[in-house]
Amino acid sequence: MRTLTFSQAIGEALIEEMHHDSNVVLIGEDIGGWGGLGGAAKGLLEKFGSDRIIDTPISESLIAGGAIGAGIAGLRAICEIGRGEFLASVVDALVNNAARVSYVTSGKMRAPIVVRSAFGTNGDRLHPHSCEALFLNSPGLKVIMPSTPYDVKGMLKSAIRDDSPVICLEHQYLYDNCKGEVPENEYFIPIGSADIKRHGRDVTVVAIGNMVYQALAAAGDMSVEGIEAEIVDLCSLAPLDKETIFTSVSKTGRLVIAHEASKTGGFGAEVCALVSEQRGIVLKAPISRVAGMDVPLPLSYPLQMMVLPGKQSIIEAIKGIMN
Amino acid sequence: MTNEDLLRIYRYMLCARFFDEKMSGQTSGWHSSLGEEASIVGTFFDLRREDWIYPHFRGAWIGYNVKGMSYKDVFVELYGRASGTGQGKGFSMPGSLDWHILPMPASALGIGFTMSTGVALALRVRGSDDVVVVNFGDGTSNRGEFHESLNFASLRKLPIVFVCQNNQYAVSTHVSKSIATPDVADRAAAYGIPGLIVDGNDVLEVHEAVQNAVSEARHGGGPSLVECKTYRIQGHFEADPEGYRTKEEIMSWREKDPILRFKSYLNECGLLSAELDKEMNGDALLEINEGLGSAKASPRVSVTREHIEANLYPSGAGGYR
Repeated sequence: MRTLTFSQAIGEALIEEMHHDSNVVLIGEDIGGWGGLGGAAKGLLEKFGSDRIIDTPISESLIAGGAIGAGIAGLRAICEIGRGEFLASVVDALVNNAARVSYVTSGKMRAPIVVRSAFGTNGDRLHPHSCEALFLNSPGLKVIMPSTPYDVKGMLKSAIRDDSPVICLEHQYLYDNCKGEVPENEYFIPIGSADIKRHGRDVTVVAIGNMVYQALAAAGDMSVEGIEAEIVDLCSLAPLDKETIFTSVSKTGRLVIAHEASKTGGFGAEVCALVSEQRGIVLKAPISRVAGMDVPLPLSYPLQMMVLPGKQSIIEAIKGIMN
Repeated sequence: MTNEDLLRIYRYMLCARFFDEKMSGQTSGWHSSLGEEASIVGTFFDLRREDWIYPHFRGAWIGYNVKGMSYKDVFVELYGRASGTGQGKGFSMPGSLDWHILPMPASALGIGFTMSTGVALALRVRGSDDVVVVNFGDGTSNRGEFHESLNFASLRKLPIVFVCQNNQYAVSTHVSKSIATPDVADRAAAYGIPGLIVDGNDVLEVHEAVQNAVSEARHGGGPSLVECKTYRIQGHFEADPEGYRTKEEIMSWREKDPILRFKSYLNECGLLSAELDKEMNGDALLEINEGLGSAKASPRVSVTREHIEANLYPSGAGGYR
């Protein structure tokens, strides 16, 4: 099977869906010129023309609100809101409006939009902030965070065909650094389905984005010490695959949740609450959250490295609950 | 414009006034459009069914009616009844797919501009010659989305007309205290589009200006802005304690009542005798009352979990094709 980068996999999803449906358009900044986020859309302007690859000025409210209007009027817009931080400028468009279009019109009108946004750090990048927590308290919005080339292609294709608004958060370290096998034939991955990236019996680690790789690396180290960790890549934050989480934690009795965003009010809190509420799960230890420190992410490399969670903090968390 | 058209316009304005009076009497939260009927009716009269509109919240339902929706269906929406689009959910105005009226899912103003511009973009991409008319107040033109939308619509020469219903007040704030230029229309030049000022209390002047702008947009001439100078007779909402303007100011504008002015005009044209006027007033009031009665008699939605959760994530057939 061939290997693609995360960015190439996204590019394939975009091309396939644009060929499949002439109503699919891309709207955002620097898409035609630069290929947009991750360079995934390189070459698409030449292929599909400027009526379908729509470069905009620096106008995030227009990009997001415009995508909604275009969606109501029959297009399927994939808009790009460059960086996670910029998403905060479009909370009104997405949370107050896109999330509600179908609901308030009894399904007669829809906002079938996809919002792609890049976030996350490898310590050597700007715009590292995670922002998923802004959108998890907004019923009607779907939020996905695929972490492999295989997952991102399949989930993005599903997102584009979904009539709900879907925010696809792409950890930018993965664009060129993450390679994986992607089948030649067409496939879809349903939104709302988690993926167990590694099976294990001793502790469940629920992770998202680049933390999936940190968790896998931690699991490798722990295995040497005889502790087998099960790594659950959520893939989808809203809707969330509760069943997979519950099944895994029922089996292991121990839960670590890992995300890059700062801890308080972060996504990990929701997973904690869900597991705590669930009857029939017997925990052998308290739930542990591995997350960013509660500060705005510093720019300086050594400071950023201390604030951000990683393989080591996951190992410490696992050890902490293995008694 | 035929004589029939002129009388249709008069009927729409009468209905608008009776509808507004009825609603003002029903709830202290009502945002009255009293005195702004010419601006609203003139803007939406005689658009194509396929043209899209986003009405200003003040007078929105009048816009819905002029676009094609019956007052019965308007009341069905207001009462959240089962046969409507909204069915009791969401913030007030659910729009209408049948009549190409955009929804207003949330109360922060601004989304109207960007959403409408997105519709215009879709019309362009799909090769349609339909047009979008977005209508808004003076205060709303201060939102960032106004500027982002005019700029983008102008760049791409999108088929959209921006109609400002300048009633001079945004809640308690007079335009002179919120807009840095003498007129809202001045802002159009900043984006390279025409900005026209009209007497917002003269329904024919409004109508002609909007129709010209719509025609221009329809034939690839790009967007423009029409500013209708009018006045808000009532408070921002019914229970508004006011105190920020004088009774003299309000009285001076009552004398420029758009319905009285149009009635005068029709009279001068020999189209409106006293008997016909009385009859038309009666018919308009009946239309409102019958609409309300029918809506109130129509089936209610079921107050169940199933109804409450319906269409949160849409599936199956739906949306615009």
